[in-house]
Amino acid sequence: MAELTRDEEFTAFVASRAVWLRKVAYLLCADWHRADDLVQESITKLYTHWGRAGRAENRDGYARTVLVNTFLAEQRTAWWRRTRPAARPPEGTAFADPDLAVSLDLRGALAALPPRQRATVVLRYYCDLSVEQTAAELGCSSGNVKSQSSRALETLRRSSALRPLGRSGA
Amino acid sequence: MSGDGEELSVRMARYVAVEEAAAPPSRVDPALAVLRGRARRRRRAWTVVAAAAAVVLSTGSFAVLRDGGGAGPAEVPAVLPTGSPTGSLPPDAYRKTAPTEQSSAAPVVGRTVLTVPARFGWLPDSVPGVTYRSGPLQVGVVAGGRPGVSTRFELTAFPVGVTPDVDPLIGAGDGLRIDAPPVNGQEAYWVSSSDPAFAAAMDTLRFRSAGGRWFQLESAGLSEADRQQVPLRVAAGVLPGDYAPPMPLALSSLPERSVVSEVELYLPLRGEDRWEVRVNFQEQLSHYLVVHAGPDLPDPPANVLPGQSFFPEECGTGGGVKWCVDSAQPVAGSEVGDPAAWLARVVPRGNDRAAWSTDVLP
Repeated sequence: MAELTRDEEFTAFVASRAVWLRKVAYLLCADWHRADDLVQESITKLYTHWGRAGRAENRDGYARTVLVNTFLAEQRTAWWRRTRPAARPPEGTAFADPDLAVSLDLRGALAALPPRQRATVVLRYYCDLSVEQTAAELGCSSGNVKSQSSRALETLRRSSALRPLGRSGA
Repeated sequence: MSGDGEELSVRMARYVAVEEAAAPPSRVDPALAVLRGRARRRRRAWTVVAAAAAVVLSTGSFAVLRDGGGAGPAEVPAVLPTGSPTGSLPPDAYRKTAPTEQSSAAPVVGRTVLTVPARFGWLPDSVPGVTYRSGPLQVGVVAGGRPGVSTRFELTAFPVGVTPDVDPLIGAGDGLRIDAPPVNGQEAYWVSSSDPAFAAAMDTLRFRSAGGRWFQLESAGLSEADRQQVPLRVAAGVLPGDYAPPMPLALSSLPERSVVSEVELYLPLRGEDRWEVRVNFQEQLSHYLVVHAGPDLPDPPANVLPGQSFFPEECGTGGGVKWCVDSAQPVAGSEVGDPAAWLARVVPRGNDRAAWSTDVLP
């Protein structure tokens, strides 16, 4: 009976967080199919450690940490890292929809970041975590997060991802 | 947060919203996670008990169980010709000659459901068994690494024709390529990082086979003295080339629109552990089923076993084997996703590996 409650609790939690986790995974890997695989593997790991997750102060944070670590582990161990997501469109391409232009610019720029910098950027600027919280999730020092963020922002500034709106494709 | 940081935050939110509008439907399935998670916990529980039993049996029993009775390193006794029905072991079952290398391993070829791009040759005594796996996240072979076994070697292959390079950033430092002694006369290198903490915990060896394909061997659980020499020896013994291990079960029929989504086969190298097989199916692209089997032995103590199954599970026993089908989404009154209907299709092949075959699908 306790097992039934455990499974129900897990299923309810994941069902309510799957969309959010999928978005974070997409930002990490820029491919919805792979994002689904990452989330599926992450929630499977989450299930096997559900007792520990239940004792965590921030269960959402625990789930997100599992997801990011799964992504980084895949980058270390698999040949997926060789298949970079689709990068930017040809130079000079103009888009009538500024949102679409921003989207494509950002996709290319994020894909060009090394995996750990990408994870840092996603945690800091999409998940709105502080430097200290990001460090805790990535298992590194605050100084390391600052340097990773700084490097990433510098790269994004050099790309078109952070240029002012209205000049896309100009 | 800096001005650029705030701008990036806004643009990332907009980016995800735009992309999500055109995203395919999500395949994320909490019920499948429960099924797979249960299987992992079950395997973990089995291994803890097996490891405890191994300690009790001690090395005297090993000497009886191992060919020759000596204390030499284990060879993986699994070199049956790919695709051939299994009879008895061929005379060259322990040969180390590399077979012809094939292209990237395909998860399903004909009636075969599990194909890996290489297999282990020499392994140290601390490795009790080998797992062959093929799924969406990995195709490869893992030696050891199960709960209670710290030594672990994970072997994967890069696609044919791909020469891997080192990521520019690994951990908190720059990725480094450090030349390693040649493996069987071929180029090899360690992947490391300028970050000392990361480098200290990282044991990744890449080596090229005689056929030109690159392999990666990740090691864990080795002493400082063994961190280099043992992986190099394991790599030297690797047998490149697609390999389909004989499987302990088959299916007599397969419902329409059913596909194999993941396969895992664990084979102990010595007699103290249990073999395990798990084949995941998707029926009608929406119903998940797990067919799993192992020796029909007393279960581990109740305190380490998962409790009552959350999903309908049907099991059968016979010939010393227990096989089960878990279904995540059975449909009342329908055979779609029905564990009982799937159980009737399972054909176990017993515990004698000589009777196993690579043919699994009908």
